[in-house]
Amino acid sequence: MHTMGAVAQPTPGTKAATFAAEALAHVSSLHRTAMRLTAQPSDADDLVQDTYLRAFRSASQFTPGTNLRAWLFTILHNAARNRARDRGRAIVVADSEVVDRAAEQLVAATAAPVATPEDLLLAREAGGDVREALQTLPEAFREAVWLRDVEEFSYAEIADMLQVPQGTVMSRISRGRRLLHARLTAMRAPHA
Amino acid sequence: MLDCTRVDPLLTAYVDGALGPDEARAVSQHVAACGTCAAAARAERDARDAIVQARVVLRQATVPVALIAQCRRQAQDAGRASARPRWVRGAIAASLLVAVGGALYGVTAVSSTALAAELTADHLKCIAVNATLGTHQSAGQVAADLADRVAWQTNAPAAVERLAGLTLVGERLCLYGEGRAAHVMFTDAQGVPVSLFMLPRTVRQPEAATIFGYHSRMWSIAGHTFVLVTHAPDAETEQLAATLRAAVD
Repeated sequence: MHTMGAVAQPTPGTKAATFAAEALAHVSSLHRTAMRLTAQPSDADDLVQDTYLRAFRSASQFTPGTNLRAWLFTILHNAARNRARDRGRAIVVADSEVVDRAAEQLVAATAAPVATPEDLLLAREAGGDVREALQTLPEAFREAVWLRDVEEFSYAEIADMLQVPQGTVMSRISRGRRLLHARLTAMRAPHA
Repeated sequence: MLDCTRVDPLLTAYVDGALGPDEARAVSQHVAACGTCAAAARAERDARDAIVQARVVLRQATVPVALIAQCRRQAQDAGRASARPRWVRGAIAASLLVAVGGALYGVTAVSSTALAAELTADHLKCIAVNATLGTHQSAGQVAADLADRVAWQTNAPAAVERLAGLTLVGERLCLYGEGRAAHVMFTDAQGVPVSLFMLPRTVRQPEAATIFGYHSRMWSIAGHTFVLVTHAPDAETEQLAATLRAAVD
């Protein structure tokens, strides 16, 4: 017998299945981010698996109604940081002298011609020059710009992911965009 | 009116329309009168717009089918676990402890053949990634990494080199269906890659399998499971497994 107006309460299994389906819908964006954070495709695959393993195990810590994709990205970045630390890689800190020097060298290098006009036209039509210019940015700046302008996260969400203050996030986006602009301007300038 | 040092840190939020009305108005007035800040704001806006225009292309990604399948399996495993009432989960954990303690071999969700297939895939993947023939890590370095990453205190890398006549390539961590596995890679005298996996805190029955022509041998010692994977002939694999069991023990 049915009770009119009664709403069935989701079982723990149903809730877990719904959470999993929603989480798995973001595999593509997590994978492309993992590809940028790791040097090898197989490492990117491992990183995404690691992210989902952690996410499913700590699903109860996710606050319903908040941004699930941002939560997954935070887990992904934490996992990537742990891996980098385990492997003894030096983690570059933006705004440090090292990054500043790299940025200055980058600006100095933007005058160099990169390809034939035909190549540039083809690349530009496919957004390839933007991708190429992004690749030339220092890692910390590139990541901040990517998370903001490609993945469309808020400054606060990015700060959570990168575990830096929000002001640092905005500074990295600012410097990243200005470097990108300089690079694109040089790439798109007609050759003599 | 704000000066340049106050305005510059606000330009990103200004360009993104993320400032409050009062601040936005103040920045706008400054930018209208300051060529330097106007150029900086324009550069930021143009760069952002270029990315936005290319967003579709930048977001293109091909996700490996195997990766999606693996992530789905993790979700299903997690879903099954969370669907059980808490007392059932506790009871299962307790019964597993009894089973491991009484019979030595634990019960796991994934069949040994499926595990062998998974590790064979990892063998192929890691060998390709590490450009096997061109890499060589010292036994001391590998032992230190294993102790650090999976808390496996062992002199197995040196013992395997000495007893089995293999050349060490290196090690890495692999994810498999039930967690992390240490993957130690070698080459034999003919240059054939040989993988030894260590699955921490996992006990399985001895098993031999052949997946796509790759032979594997599985055994457990001291609460850990070891899996040998190689493309060497089956008889050689059996002999190698016996040597590795002795070396790892």
